[in-house]
Amino acid sequence: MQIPNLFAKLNNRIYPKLIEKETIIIMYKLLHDSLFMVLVFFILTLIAEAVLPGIIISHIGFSKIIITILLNVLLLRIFAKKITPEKVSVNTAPQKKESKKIIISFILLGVLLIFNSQLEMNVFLNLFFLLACLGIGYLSYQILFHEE
Amino acid sequence: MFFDLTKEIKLEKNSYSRYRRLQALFYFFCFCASLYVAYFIFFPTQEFNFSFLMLTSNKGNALNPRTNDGTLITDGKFQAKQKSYFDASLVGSFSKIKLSFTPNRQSKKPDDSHIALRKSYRAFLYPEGNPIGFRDGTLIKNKSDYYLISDGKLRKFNSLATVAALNFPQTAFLSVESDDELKYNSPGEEISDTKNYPADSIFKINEEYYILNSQGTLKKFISSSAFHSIYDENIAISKNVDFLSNYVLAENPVGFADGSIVTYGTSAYIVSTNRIYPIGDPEIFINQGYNWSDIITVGGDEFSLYTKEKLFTLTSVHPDGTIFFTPDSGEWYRIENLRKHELPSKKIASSWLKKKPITVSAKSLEVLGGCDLKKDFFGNYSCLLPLNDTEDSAGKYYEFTFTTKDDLKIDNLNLLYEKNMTIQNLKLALRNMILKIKARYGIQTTVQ
Repeated sequence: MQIPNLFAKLNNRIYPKLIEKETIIIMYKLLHDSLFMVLVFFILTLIAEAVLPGIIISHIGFSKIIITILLNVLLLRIFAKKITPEKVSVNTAPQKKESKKIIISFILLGVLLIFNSQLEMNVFLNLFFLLACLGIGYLSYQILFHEE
Repeated sequence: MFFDLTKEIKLEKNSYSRYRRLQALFYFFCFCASLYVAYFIFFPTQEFNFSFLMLTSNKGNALNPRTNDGTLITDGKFQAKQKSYFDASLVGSFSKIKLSFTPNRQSKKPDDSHIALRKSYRAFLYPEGNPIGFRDGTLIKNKSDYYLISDGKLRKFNSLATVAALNFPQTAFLSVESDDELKYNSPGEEISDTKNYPADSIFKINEEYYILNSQGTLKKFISSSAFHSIYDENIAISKNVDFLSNYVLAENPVGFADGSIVTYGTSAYIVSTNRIYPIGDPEIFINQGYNWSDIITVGGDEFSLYTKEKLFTLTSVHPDGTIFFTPDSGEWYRIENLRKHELPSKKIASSWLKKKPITVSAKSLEVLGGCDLKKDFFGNYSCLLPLNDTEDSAGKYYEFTFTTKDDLKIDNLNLLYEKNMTIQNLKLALRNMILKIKARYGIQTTVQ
């Protein structure tokens, strides 16, 4: 038996009896908060490691942070299946501007991290690699997410 | 709906307020966790463990428990009234060390066993050997007498005329007032032959440098920088190319002075005899006492003269040829064959040294502190060794001497370095971080 199926079966058996639907939603919302915090910690760790290598990972390994993120996402997925559609209100407000800002700030952060990671290299070679990385990133995005 | 990441998911009023309370609790927990993370970043601890039950679990040679004669203790047996040693090497200032021993159930208990600590460079804690005199090839003037250090011996020129006849440059003679400084080189045969040069005479021919060895063959220095890492320019006797026809040229050239720091490509290496030791990283370079200004850039032909040894790390011992200087007592020492030999005067030291020595406090040879083991709450035997956390002295090697009253069998040995949570330590940690960041971005080249 596959593990996700086992989880699903256990969920079906346990949740209706032991946990109220509302509690599931509360846990789902809390898992979002925890994912947000772990991601903030992960980004801060990336920045700190870029400036001073070893400052965080000598105490907490990257693998532990990544496993926590994956576990959180897995739990979110399990809980999301338990939420009935009527509990979800479709947000019709335009959010494009906000998400655009976030994407741009993440790209900027990425650019700085890549440039910083190759500081010992010649500046022009570093810039060339950076442009290459951006090019590859853009093409990958086009291939994976381009809407026909 | 302030800070709700899942506004789309609706909750009943009661449940929503429950969620808000739990959310507040969660963020409070995150705040506490971030304080905890900050605590161990600013006040780090460092742990070393040695298990005598599972030797394979010990990382590298951590703690290196050994008997007085240097034999590694692998069975956990410590003999009564015999000194045993273990050590650790680490960077940073700490407030205390907690030492913990877990005795075997069948063993006697290590109550009141004493542990003493010394902190220095590993090589500087070597036992002291005989003092060393001037380096071979050194020219000395004592009152009206002229000498050459040849093959380790102090050889007197029979007259100033002989010095002149052999073209030894007058300016190269090191003026030594005290006879005491001459006694460290045993007296050798007088130099009276004006036709043949004594061993360790140095020549400059066509901008290349040569030294005459005791077998009568000429050894060429691999490069000008190799020569200048050992001798001053004015010591060499200028000769024409014809002079080379009088001697057989030795096969292997002379390299850099032992203890020199050379760089080839992006790595730095320590030279010792015919070996070079690659230095792990800039932090190790600084913490092992070396100076950036002493680095000599070498070419492929110079580099190929040496055999590459394993990485020189914080736990490595300084190789032969390293020279230590103690500013507090004004003494000089040279490392040779696992012994620390005194260079009895500044002039003798200067004949061996063309770069900055490694400075270390003479006090680091003394015991820094000690403690007696007592039974603790968990049934282990432990004690606390206080350290001066405001003074991070040169040398990152902690040597512990363990003396026990009874024969013991120990299962586990643990060291925990801790830092007290004080404003001063916080400032120090921040200062070190800023220094490291500056060093990383090339604003400053020193790191602590």
